[in-house]
Amino acid sequence: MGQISATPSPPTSNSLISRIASYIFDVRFLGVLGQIAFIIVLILGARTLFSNFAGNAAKLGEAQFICRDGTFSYRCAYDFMENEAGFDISDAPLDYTNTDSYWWAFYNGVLNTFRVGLLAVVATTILGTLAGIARLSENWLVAKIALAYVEIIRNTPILIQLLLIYFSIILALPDIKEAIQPLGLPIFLSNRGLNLPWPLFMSSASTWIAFLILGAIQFQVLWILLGKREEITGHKSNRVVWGIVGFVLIALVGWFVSSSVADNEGLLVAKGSRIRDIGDIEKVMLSRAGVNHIDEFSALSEEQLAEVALKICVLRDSPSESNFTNKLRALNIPYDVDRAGSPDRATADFVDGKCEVFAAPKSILAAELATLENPGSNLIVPIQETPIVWHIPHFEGFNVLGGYTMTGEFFALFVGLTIFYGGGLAEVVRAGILSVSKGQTEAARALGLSEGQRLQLIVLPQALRVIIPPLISTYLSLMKDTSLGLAVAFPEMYLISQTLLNQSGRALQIMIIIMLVYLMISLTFSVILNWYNSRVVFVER
Amino acid sequence: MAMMQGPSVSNVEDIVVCRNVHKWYGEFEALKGVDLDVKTGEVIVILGPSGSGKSTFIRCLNRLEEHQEGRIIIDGIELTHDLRNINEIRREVGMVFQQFNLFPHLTVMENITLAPIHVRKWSRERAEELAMQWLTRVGIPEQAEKYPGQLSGGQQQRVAIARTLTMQPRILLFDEPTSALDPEMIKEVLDVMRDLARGGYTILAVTHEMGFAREVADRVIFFDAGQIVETNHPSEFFTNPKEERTKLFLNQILHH
Amino acid sequence: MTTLTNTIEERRKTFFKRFNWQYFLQDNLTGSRWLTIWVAFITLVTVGVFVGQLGSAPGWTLILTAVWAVGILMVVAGELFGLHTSFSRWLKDNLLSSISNTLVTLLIILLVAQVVSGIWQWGYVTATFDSTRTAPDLRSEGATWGVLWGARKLILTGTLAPEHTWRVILTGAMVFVLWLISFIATRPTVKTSMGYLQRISITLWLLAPIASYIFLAGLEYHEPFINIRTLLTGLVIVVAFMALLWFFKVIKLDPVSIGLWVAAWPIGYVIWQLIARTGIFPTINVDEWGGLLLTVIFAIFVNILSFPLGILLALGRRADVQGIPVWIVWPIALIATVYLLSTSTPELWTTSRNNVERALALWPLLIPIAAYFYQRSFQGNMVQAFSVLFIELIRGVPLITLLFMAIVMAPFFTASGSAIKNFWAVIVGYTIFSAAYMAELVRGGLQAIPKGQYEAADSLGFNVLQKYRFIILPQALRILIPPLAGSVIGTFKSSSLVALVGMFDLVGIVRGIIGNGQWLGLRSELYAFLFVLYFVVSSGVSWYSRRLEKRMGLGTR
Ligand SMILES: Nc1ncnc2c1ncn2[C@@H]1O[C@H](COP(=O)(O)OP(=O)(O)O)[C@@H](O)[C@H]1O
Ligand SMILES: [Mg+2]
Repeated sequence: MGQISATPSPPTSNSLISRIASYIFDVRFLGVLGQIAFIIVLILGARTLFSNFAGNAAKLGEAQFICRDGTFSYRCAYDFMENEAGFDISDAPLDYTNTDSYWWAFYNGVLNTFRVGLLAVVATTILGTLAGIARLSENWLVAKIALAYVEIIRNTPILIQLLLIYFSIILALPDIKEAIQPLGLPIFLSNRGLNLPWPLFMSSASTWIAFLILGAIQFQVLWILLGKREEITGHKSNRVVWGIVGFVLIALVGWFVSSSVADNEGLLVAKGSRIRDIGDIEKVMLSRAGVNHIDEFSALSEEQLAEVALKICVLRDSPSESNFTNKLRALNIPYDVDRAGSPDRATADFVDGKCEVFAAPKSILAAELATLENPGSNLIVPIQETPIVWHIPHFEGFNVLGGYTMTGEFFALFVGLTIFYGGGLAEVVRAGILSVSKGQTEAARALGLSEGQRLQLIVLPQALRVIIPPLISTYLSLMKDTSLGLAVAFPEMYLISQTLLNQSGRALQIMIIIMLVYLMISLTFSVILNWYNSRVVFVER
Repeated sequence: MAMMQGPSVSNVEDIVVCRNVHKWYGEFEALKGVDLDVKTGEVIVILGPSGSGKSTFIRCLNRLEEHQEGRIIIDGIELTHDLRNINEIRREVGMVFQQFNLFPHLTVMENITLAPIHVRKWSRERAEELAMQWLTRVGIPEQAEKYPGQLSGGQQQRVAIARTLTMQPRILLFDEPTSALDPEMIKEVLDVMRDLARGGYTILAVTHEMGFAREVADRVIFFDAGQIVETNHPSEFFTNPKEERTKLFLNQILHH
Repeated sequence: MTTLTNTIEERRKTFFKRFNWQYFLQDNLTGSRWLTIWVAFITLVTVGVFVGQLGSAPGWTLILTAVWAVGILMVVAGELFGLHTSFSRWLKDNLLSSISNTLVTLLIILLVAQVVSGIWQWGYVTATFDSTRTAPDLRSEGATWGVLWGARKLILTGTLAPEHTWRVILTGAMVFVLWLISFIATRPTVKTSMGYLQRISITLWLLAPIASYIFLAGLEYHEPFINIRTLLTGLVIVVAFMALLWFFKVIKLDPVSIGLWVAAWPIGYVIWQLIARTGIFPTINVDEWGGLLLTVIFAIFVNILSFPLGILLALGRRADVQGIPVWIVWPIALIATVYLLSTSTPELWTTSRNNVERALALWPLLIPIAAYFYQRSFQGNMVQAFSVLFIELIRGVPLITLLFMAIVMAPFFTASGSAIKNFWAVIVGYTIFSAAYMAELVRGGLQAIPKGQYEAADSLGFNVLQKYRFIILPQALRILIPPLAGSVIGTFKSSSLVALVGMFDLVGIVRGIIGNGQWLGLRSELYAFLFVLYFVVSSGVSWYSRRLEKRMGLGTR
């Protein structure tokens, strides 16, 4: 058949020039040549920039690189961050005063960024999911309203939304004196922001949590046991309900046990005050005000009330305060709080007579008692505690104190981000739901899966595959847009860095740090995204 | 019809020479030493189970894939990394794909004339004239101003063939040109291919159309696991294959 | 007779089939525990809202509730007695399909009515519209819309000197005329009869940016009238560019068009100098632009600049050219590491003041790490590595930091002594940002082009430039119209952020207006106005792009 000839004799020309030419026109060679040319261009560009920078830095930026000893060195670029900040932060998450360092101020800003960002991420997820489902609602009005929401939000700049929310809505809310209290709950909405009740953990909470864990174990065990029984008898037992009932029972028992067993909280009182337990306080107050019943206090004038009010000392931000004052408020006893920064200060106030009782954990009180001149004339009265006390906002003078305070600025940024990204997310969720084709639904029905199983096993996994990648990029954009705190004066990282920059004049250094922090956040999100994508791709293969 | 004549048949040397061609995709060896010589004007049909490396092989011939070992010489030009050789060979070799790969944003006429105008540097008039001849040749001159999306699969494939031929290649590669077509359209494409085969073109075609192979092939090549298992004349190949593996394969597809 | 009774029987049957209390309750209330809870909850909320609004606005609340009740009656009548009209059927399907839906409908009607009436009260009923009565002591309870008219000059052009206003109007008029021409040129009838019109309109559009620049920024005249060096340099650039395109076979050598191209530069140059000499368009300081003018300039400028840059970055990210091989990278990296470790580190180490600085002194060790990742992620492909790093770094930080960076860093990185206007710095920062996002869009578009298109182009012998110019980009850009329109809108919307770095765009100028004594504190009015303005423009653009897409898509599939 005469195919494959015996010796390969492909024609090749061997002249030197053509050999060299064939090297030059080799795509690989050309590729590398191009790469090197590209690198050279890059290096040239970078060199121009750097030489400009070096030239300018000596002139413009001399002050930027001054060390403490007055010499010029790039090494000292960040020395200024140890200086005293000198400005106040209206909403610092940590203990911050204007004598702290720039680092500390910046760190507070970073925490604020995360605080508002992460809270908004959670809220956005909820809002976006609801709006996405509402877009597909069978109720025409609901669907149209969700559509209007999405369209309006997506076609206007987030900055203007934020400004409107802050200036036209939040600042237009009533003054704190007339704060809105929806349904009479202890929630205060005013132009200063939002005050919410907030749970605080007492030391006995650990006992209670142990009970909760026990409850969870019980749930699991019951789940398995009842499941076995179901298999054997064929009767459907209501596993969820029984599990929950058991869990609640155990939690309740745990609550009472830990409250009654716990004996950590106490009051430091003078022996002469005749207070031996919390019930005595009422009597003391009645006799002091000269009335017969606690209800008659309401008839007293403001001055009189201030006169008779029980003066108490507490440690700032301690749960002991809420534990004690909640009880006093339940008894309708008027009181005056003196919040001290340290136990020593509180004790000093107590000794000076600025307060009659000092409420704190017993261990602290005992240590303080030992330092007093005449410990014998004072004593520690135990008070009851519950594992969790509610830190409840309430009026104190013209101000609302306690609870979790969202300042107006925080609230504006939080709401603005949530509404804006919720709108974007709604479309993502909608697309995700729609991506699960009808055929899938029908196939699931044909398999005889129940509606719940269908949602759980077929729809959700598939929809999530479509939803999660854009969801993560939405989160990332949201985190970056926390920098809009600048517009509403919320002291997050970007605003703080601006203040830092204005005060110190170190533009370059500060830009570099904030860029690094933002890049770090972005990197985290893209790592998560890549991980998810690779996992999904893997599953698909 | 003078234009039906393919390129001149004066050169009776081997127009395609492959020696020990190897190709790896990462760790996976898709071609394990392929040797093949094709004479000018020869029509070769390549058969083989799916995944045996048929497409990989003919795509190596015009550098859509890069072979890593061995030599491929097309019309005296060796396929190396040399840019000039690659360009020259691509002008010599035309390819028709399973999925047609027409450019959806251009009309049929633009699809056909784009490469002649910009690669061959012809004037628009010349390109359009030749394009029209080829369109007439494949039987759809009236579709010249339509967009590919408005044509049936068979028509699209014929446009693709006209597009390839207007570039005046000497060698034609077909990679399963009828596999994506509905049965009633296969014939119209096969008719065109048959004509080309008789018109003196050098053709390497991957196809499972046994009728086509029997009728016009000079040789049938059977591929398996990246190697040529059997090379045979079509009459021999289908009635009396030499290799066990070939018999098995023919059994499977003929009794299907 | 029997047939008649039969039909009556049947009707009764169907009636009871149609309505069955048991089924009705099961479907709407008792079907599942969650349904019951949900209905109870929604009832509670609706009743609560109803009672609350009855107190504040009894009339409207009662009217709306009555309308709602009539709707229910119509549906009930339709269901029970077969008296459905198309309207009642629509009501039943869309608003009143179940008990919970019916309640939700009422709830939403009441809530929407409350919001709308609140806005209506503020924005119209108690509002003033007189532009002379905007001072704080003259305002009424509601909105003071007069500020919009009173401050129109600032809102439209910011601090631009009034004698230049006609130039802005001229630019606007020019754009309108151009749009009109291309609108006419693309009409199907005109398209065939006067094909040249389309070419003219495209040329005009390409010249429009230059004309706008002359109108809005003005020209400064430099002696001599014809600077031979400038003229020749320009000529060389034009010719080199043409030669490059010709070399890559994207254009053909055609004496007429080459002549035109080559002549274009000297002619353009002379015209430019002529206009400059007459002094009709004296220079305007770009930092004086403000208000709507600045916003529009930003949006257009940034979109035009970032588009080609984005395409380049996207192509760079997908470039699969041969990378620099390992045997070149590693030796260089190692030599550099050793060299720098021996020269730079010792000094840094000895003068370090703390552990952080000591660790930083070892920085040359980063080189092999970088080399490792460079090889692993990019196989030595520098173009790809650069594009990816550039895109990802830019996308990793907020726009506002880039804008700010551009402003504060510009004096550091430009040649010393040259002062850069904030406007240009912001344009650069914004363009870089926008290009990084654009690049990702374009990359998506390129990825959507089937592999077969690339292969067909390769097999026909196109070179890389031709392949992208004639085959890949035209398809990719068509796919990209909707996302690109989205990006144009996005750029327009986020241009509001430049206000935060001290530019006087719409938001910036409004913040200025609010601080002005006469209009002090009229925030809600102005922000609401901006809100509506942005909304109208953005939805307009997206509507137009959808139309465009439909029209362009006609030919293809
Ligand atoms: N781009 C690729 N990457 C990795 N493996 C591939 C690639 N293309 C083809 N292969 C593998 O090479 C083998 C040969 O493929 P192919 O030539 O397409 O087979 P055929 O055309 O004969 O069906 C197959 O096993 C296929 O999985
Ligand atoms: Mg194949």
